[in-house]
Amino acid sequence: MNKNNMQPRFTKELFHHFSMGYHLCMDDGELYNEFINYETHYRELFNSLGYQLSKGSSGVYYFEPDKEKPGINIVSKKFTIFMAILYDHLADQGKDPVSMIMEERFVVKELPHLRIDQYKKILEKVNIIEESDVLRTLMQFEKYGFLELKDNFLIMFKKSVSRFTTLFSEVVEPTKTKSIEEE
Amino acid sequence: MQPRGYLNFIAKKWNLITELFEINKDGPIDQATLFQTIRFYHPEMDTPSLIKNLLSYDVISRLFSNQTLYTLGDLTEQIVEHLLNEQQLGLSESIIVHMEQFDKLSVNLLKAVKNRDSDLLFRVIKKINRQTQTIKRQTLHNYKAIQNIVAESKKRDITIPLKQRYADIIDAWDQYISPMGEMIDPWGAFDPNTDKVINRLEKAVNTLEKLGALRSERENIHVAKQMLIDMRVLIINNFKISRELLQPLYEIARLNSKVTRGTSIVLEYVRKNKFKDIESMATINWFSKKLSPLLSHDIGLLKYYAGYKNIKNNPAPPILVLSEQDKEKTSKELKPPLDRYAVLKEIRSDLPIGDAMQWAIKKYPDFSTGKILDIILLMMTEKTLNVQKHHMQHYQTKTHLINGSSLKVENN
Repeated sequence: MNKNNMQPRFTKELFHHFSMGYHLCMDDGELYNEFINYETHYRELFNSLGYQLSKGSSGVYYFEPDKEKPGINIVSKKFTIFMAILYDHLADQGKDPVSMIMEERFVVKELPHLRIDQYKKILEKVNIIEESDVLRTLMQFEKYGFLELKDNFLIMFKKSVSRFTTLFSEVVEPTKTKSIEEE
Repeated sequence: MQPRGYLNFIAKKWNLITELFEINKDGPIDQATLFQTIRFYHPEMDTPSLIKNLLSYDVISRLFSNQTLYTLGDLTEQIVEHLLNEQQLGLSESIIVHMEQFDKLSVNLLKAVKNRDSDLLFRVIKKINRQTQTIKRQTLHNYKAIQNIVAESKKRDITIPLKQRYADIIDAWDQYISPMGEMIDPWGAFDPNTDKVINRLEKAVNTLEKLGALRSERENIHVAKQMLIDMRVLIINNFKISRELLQPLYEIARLNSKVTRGTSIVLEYVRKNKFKDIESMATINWFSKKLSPLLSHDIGLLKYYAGYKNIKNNPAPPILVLSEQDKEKTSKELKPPLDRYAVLKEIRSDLPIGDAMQWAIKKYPDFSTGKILDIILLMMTEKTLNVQKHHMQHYQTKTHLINGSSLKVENN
């Protein structure tokens, strides 16, 4: 079919997803393809409605948060710690965490989070104590488009999880920043 | 003797050393001349300490045992080769040393041509040829080393910790590719320096031609020049292939190293309960909106979907001061807010709805305009409902006059 004769079809769905904080990436199939095909259209539309779409570097699209209204910090903190544990554990196993997280599938029960004592203690600090808490966190991850959870059993991370890769690669210790500023 | 320190010393004091060897040719150098020459070349330095260094680096002993400057060059070359074999010295460092030597040699070659010193000319050409061969060998050695590093890292032996597995790749990049790139890339010093030496050799050939020198002498210089050109091509090509080979692995290694470093810092801060610090250094924020009991209303999107353009405030109602009795009565009438599922249930039970706005105003007379618009947006974004726009119409809520399309709602 000639693309020129086609019209954007998923305005509702895309707006719904983005306004819920969803991260759209190529793992989202048809919705992603539709967005890419009409990116300019959607960008202009959402922009005219007062929303700012991310630039999409590394192929991940989301509504930029309002700088004056910080995002959901408690959830965000849980996500950061949850992912930090996973990257740390994979690196300890001698694996490349960056590619492993994208390429491998993880079984919920086999996650290191509650199985390894040191990680368990860390998670207690953000009230992730039991497997049900882990599942709830994973469901939140799914809601924001970072992974797909099959039957509460199997985890498949999506490309959008690269936001965490970028985040961790740019971590700067606050004390060091302070000392540089002081100098 | 520290080889790297030795090379640095020789490179920095080369002019002084050549002068000392030149003076020594006319007979053993005396103490006064030694001091005078050192002061001339390095007036800023402490002369006795510099003499100590010349002694410890074996320069003076070679001077007094009547060895030539070329034996010192041989020693330098041996050290460079040894360091390369031990992988302690990057190729770029050795090339810098060699380029300095090429520079001196080409100057000496011009001198030999000018003075018709065929013995010196022969020795210089021989030296240039040997050096080009040495650099070529070193280049191939480095290329093989890179190939080995890449092959090793691809074995993916996961029993070796990540940091250790990638250390070789990062080291090879930082110590070999990066400095070589700086030197060889178009803005680097390699090309102009090599050009300078090649031009001198060309000049020497032309001078010899004018002087009517033997064809074999000209040929020898010509061959040396060609060897230099070949060497340059080999260095550049091998370097480019090495960089292409290592780059993908380097990027993976670098990213993984940065990420694991970042996660270690984050986890360490959590262990110490420094949550505020984590918020500032590692928090992803994403779009969120304050949720109303139904759905956050969005006038902008309604403008787009339903063409509701003129939403005007009614004149503000007078502020009522409620008596205690009225307050009690009002609070008894308060009901828990409806959630989106309850509203959806009510919408579905009334389908088909001829005019969504009228329906919502009538159904929820106590709702604010914002909540009424929320319900319209809910209908429009709900996948199971089909909403069709019709003619423009005016609607009146408790507080607002709205101009927009009438919307027919059916099951999808």
